[in-house]
Amino acid sequence: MPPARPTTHSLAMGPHPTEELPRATGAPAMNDAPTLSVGLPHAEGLPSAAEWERLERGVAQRVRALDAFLSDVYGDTADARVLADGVLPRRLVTTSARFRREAVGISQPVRVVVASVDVVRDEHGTFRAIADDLSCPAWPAHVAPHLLRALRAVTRVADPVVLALAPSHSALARQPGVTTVAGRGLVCRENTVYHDNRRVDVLYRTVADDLLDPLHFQPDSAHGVSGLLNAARAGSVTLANAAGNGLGEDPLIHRFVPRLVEYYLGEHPILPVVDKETVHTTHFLPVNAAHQRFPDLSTAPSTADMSPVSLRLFAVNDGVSVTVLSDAVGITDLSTSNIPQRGSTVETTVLW
Amino acid sequence: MSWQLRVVHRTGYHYTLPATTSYNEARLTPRSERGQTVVASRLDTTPATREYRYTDYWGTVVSAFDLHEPHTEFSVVATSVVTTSGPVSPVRTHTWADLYRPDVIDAYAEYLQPTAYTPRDAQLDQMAHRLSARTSPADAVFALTHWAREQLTYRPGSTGVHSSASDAWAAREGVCQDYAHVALVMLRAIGIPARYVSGYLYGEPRAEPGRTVRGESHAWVEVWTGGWWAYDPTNALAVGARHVSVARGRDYADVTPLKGVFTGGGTSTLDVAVHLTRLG
Repeated sequence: MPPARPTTHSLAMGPHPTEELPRATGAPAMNDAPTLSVGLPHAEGLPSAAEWERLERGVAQRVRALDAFLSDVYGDTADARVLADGVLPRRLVTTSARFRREAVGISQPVRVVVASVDVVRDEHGTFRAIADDLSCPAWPAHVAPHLLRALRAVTRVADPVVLALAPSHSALARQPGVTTVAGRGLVCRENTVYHDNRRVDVLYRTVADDLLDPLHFQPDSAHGVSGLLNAARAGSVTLANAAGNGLGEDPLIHRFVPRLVEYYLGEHPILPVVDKETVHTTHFLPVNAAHQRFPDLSTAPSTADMSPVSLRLFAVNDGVSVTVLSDAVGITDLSTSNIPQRGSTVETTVLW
Repeated sequence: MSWQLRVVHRTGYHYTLPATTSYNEARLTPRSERGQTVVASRLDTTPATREYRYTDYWGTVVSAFDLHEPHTEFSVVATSVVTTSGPVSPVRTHTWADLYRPDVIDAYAEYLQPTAYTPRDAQLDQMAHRLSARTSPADAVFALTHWAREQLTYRPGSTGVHSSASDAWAAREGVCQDYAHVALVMLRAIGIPARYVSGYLYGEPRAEPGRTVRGESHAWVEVWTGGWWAYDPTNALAVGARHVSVARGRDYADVTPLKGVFTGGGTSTLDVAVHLTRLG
């Protein structure tokens, strides 16, 4: 690096600092990436290729388990299996402010089409999930084509009409065939949603639950569409993400997700969590190298983004497989060369 | 003792300007359950609409319908014929210790929490504890609701559908909805799971078959003391053959008989008429 201290601006815009890190080039090489263990000074926090692979599987597994949980709780008005079996305390659901009873009975094949999962590294170097967004995560542009593909797949309709319901322009609308509409651009008629007299099959929405349907939630919402919830209930439109998904983000339910993995998937949980008990005792390591490369900038508030302790991953779920994508903004240094590409997978597709 | 009742619940909306669209949900259809059998039920709207029926989280039958032509009048008529029985006896299987078991609290947590209509109230809380100090849970239900009934004056129009238990308690007056909400606040304060029931009450205990009376929507409570049982706090009355239950929930918000949103229409007025006929 030049001797002069780079400004934050030049840091962000210039050559990426991690280009100077020893790293694999060309073909994927699992062994070249740094491995992390306690006390090693080279622990810049960059996940090794093996760790990335594990993170992807862990995030995909977590999203599948949360989708199964939400389908169980919301899919039928009969008692949820998970509650009847006592897998988690019933009151965590029934007293959660994010549990939307209005959405109970809405059954759709996929409830979490796109999610973000934040992970941190504990002092032992283990990645742990700390927060999820199962409602409407703000995803980077490279997620859009995967999301559109998934949105087309989560309905039984062949060649479905996919729309984005958003208060302002949605980046999804840059995809071919997708339009962004405001609430007033849609009308429900006898449980079918129309846009310009065209039937809408899948609605990607960035409008919050509370504003989604004036008939069921805030009656004065200008962003929502009256009748939308019952159209989803009748099965004529698929909402992505489904109404009421915020329940799965509840911090009290968060710690039970590994148990939900075992319960719904019959799998060993890959991604542990940071829970209420350990959050105060965990010493989080930075997940990316910028912090170590420019220690003299570490006190400037504007550099906070350059040395994050949490990493955001995105998962796109089409009901058959879960695709895990990186946050290109935060970890552009993790190019394809660093990540093992797998030709075919059952549950997880790795696409960076 | 068994009765057969016909309920005709008519709601009319009148708009000063034409309403162009309207989306509605009605919770006006009784279900067959312990204590009542639904012989027939139907819902008619004018102008005519196509009804979409589903069962909500609480087990209530919901009729949803929307209207897309300009209208200045809109009426919804729910008619049902129900065979009822009763009266309901209190469940006395559980002691206070049983009610305070963690598994019971977990199972009925949503019926123990305060809600917007039934917020905590220090005074009601204190009275509930005092009145129940030396009673069984089932007898506490009687003690609390009888005390609240003595404190409150039944006065139609004194409160509205948006009044909470606190509003009614501050005014010391209200209607059945308020009596039920005040009862729920007190019952939950001492750890008795309690829920709101909407329905109808035939007002004359000794009516001859064939007689029609003008009634209103009614509300009472159900409590869990080892099993659910119903009690009518407004009338200090066991729930029986004269009651027809329609919907249950934590408070009025979960059971709203008719709710809707409309565009256009200027200002709207609403009239409701309930006619109850004893058929047998």
